[in-house]
Amino acid sequence: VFSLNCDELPAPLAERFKLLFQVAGRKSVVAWSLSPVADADMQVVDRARVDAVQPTSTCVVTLALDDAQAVTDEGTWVKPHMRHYALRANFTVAQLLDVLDLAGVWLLQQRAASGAQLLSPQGTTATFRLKRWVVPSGALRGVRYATAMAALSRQPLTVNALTRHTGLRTSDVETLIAHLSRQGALHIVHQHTPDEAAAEPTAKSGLVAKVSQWLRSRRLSLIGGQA
Amino acid sequence: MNNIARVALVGPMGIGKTTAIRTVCGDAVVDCDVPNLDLAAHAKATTTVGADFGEADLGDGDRLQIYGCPGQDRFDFVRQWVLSLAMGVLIMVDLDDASAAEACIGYLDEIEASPAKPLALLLVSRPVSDERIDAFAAEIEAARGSVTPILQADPRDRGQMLETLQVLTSMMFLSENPS
Repeated sequence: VFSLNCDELPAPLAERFKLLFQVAGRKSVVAWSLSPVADADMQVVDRARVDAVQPTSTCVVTLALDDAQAVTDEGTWVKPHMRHYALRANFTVAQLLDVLDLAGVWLLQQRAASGAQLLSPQGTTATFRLKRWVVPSGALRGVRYATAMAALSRQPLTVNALTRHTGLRTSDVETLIAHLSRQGALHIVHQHTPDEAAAEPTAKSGLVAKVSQWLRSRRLSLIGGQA
Repeated sequence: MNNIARVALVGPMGIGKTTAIRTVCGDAVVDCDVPNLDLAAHAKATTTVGADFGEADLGDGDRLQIYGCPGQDRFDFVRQWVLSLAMGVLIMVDLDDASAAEACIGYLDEIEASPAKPLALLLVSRPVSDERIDAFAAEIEAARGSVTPILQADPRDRGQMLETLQVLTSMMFLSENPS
């Protein structure tokens, strides 16, 4: 179970957040609960009050009363160890669910990396394996996402290993993992192997790599020819 | 040097295997098409009796060869021979065909029993809804107890075919370099 705190939100926003959280929190890929700020895995704050973010927070959601604020530059308050997700004040359950899922996958990785006890016993790594094939939604189509899903159909892999195998950004892999989890299409497996052992070799070699390079070069020349 | 990566295309008569090979390999293709005398099975004018074959030069003498297996049951022995050489297989399916799932399961069982145990990917070669693909995937998984990737691609579309082969190749790479 992951916990979040929204005590720093102004009353109307806090009321809306808690109301929608009752629904989205039950549907998320990980379990969520409300907690005091000192115990929270994730802080939910007003975008105008980012000074209330605890320096040790690794996961922050901001809500902006002013829509223009929601898309402003994150500036310097987001530290390298943090993940920040933004919502507009009139957010929907679906948008909150997206944020909870993405944050859940991120926190899962963080716990696994730090050897935390709750979801990932010490010395284990959180890996994902496809339980069933589903056609992903529009934004998650494309050869790299298909490559990630094909890999997940073969063996359990970490987010980092998938990133190396596919060339997708970590945030894109997390989005895919969250999407597949929401579809009930993933097993989450904790393996007693360090993350690097679950990694793909970074330098592809051999005949298969040559085939892959040939296919990629032909695809690129095709795209170039169409441009 | 002079290594050959072989990929097989299997599927029923008229699914587009020969077209797919031509789409990927261009003119470097040998086909074994003859007039189709089995018009009850499919109305196409010609059909493959041997293994269609296309080739791509990977450099340094290495080659990618794509084989299309004849779709008719009486040429099963040709398919088994091709599967024994292949590293990967695209199983081409038409979900409008009532026997698609049964045929697919048969191909997957045959591939698993093949000595080379090539990796398989299902290729839906006619446009259908996502829901139908999901339902088809569930049917195959329930029968076999394992997940097989399913992609949709038009055999006439070079970009889509190259992408599909790239996903299959990524599976082959993962298989050679297991975590």
